[in-house]
Amino acid sequence: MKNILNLKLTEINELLKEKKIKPIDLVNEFEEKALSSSLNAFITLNIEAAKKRAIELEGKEVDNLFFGIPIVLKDNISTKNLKTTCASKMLEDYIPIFDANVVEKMEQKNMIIVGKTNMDEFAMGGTGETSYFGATKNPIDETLVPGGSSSGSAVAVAAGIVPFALGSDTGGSVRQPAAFCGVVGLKPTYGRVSRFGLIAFGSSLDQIGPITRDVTENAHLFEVINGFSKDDYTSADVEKFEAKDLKLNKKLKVAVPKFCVGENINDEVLSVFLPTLEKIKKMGHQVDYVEIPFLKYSIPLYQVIALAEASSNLARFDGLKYGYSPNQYDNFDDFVTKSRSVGFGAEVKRRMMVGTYVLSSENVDIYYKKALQVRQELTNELNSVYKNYDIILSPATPTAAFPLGEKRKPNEAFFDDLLTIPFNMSGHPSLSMPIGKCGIKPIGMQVSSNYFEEKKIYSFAIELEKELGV
Amino acid sequence: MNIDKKTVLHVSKLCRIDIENDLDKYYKEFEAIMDSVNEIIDVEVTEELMVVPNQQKNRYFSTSDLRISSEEFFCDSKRGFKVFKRCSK
Repeated sequence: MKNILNLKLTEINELLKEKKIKPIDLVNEFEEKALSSSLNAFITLNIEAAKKRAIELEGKEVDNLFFGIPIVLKDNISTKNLKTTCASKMLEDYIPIFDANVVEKMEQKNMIIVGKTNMDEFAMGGTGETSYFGATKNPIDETLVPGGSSSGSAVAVAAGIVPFALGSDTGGSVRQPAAFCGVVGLKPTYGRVSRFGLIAFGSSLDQIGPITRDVTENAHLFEVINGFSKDDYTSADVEKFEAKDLKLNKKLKVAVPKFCVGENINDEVLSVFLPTLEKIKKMGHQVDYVEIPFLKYSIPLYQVIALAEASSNLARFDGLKYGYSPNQYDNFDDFVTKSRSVGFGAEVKRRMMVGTYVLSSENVDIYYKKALQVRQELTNELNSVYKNYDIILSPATPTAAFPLGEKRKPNEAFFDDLLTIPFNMSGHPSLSMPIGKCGIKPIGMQVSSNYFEEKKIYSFAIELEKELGV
Repeated sequence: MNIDKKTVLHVSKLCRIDIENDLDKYYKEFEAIMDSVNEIIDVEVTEELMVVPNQQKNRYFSTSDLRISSEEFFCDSKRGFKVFKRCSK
């Protein structure tokens, strides 16, 4: 049987239950596809261990939907005894001694981790180009960027190499590549998925999220990875999400921020997004345009808060206990400086320097404290909208995928996350789903809701997906 | 606020990153980002500080919470967590 991995999850599960296929068949198919791919989606393939695990599973009962299903993880999610590089020379040979909480959860379901995916270095970038291991390519057209920073995860799913992947999202790093590659990506409510074992970038913003081919499968994978964790002190102790009853029982009140269809948004995107809004109206939902003035500060907010947190989080990489170690050095200070100067790429260095500057004693009130205040104002505005509306819709990205290697100013790199950053700032859940194409380029819509209302997002997105036939 | 090359060089030294050979490049990039960052300086706000956006209310989040000694974090996950917890307010 060929192309089993292209079947729906429920179909693969049935075949496993009926013993028409074995988990090893799925791993073999993944291996064949991954090795023949030219997209540079993977940093490490875990084939040998995956095959061993698949054979162990043959004697076990298929007791859940994800039994024996292969999955790939962004390479900043810690995997015991499996390299976790953050796509950086700094961690080129780093092998964690513990599993991330999400990995433990997937192993409890007997999923099989088959590889670690390429990404922007330390999740800093929106194109998949800042990786020490080279740029990832978009399977739609290899001359286009796949988006980032979870570039390899989105590409592996979009190319049909594997049906499931995890990414991490600090400013849009799951949703933006999902939009550029035409797949579905969720940034959960902050605190709903444990960050334990996720190598930190911006600790108050980071969330691990699922990337899948369709909305329903995304909900099923989210069910696996969500839940309280005592090892993450920002983990939310709330009722666990379950992927059942994902049907709308009423028509929704939908808010569309005027900012998100304004001058910053490319015509390619609007040419798909605006007709989709009309379809949503025809489906019976009420669509209103709303003002959210603080949205316009999203990028400077991100540049202060995310980079400040990054400068603090990445201070631990000094080449002593782990990380790149230089062979020749004059003294301790020289050792650390050489480790960090050679170990980190240009984008990471740039961001750490800005973060350190805004945290310096003379600037901390001017920039960092002010940014925290502006962040709260933005959060308040979004909360006000959710008092009157069920969901907020916007395009997922201001542009469609653009050519690899396009010369851009450093500041423009942040622009790709213009519409996704606000929900990292506020902590609200947010999903990117494909709604159509402009030419060959996929266009994504972002669906956001109040805290812990992922069920509402999924229910709406499933209905819309069906209506659009994408 | 204006940034000069001396400041950028000073910040790079704080970060233990050697940029002396590429100072002009980094200076231009730094300046471009700070032009954008400066947009928030004059924003009128009524709020005090951001509360962590989940259900653990009544605690404020700042990067001082995140300062963990480098030797701890990846070497021993349990110890790393304790350090993390001890730093939280």
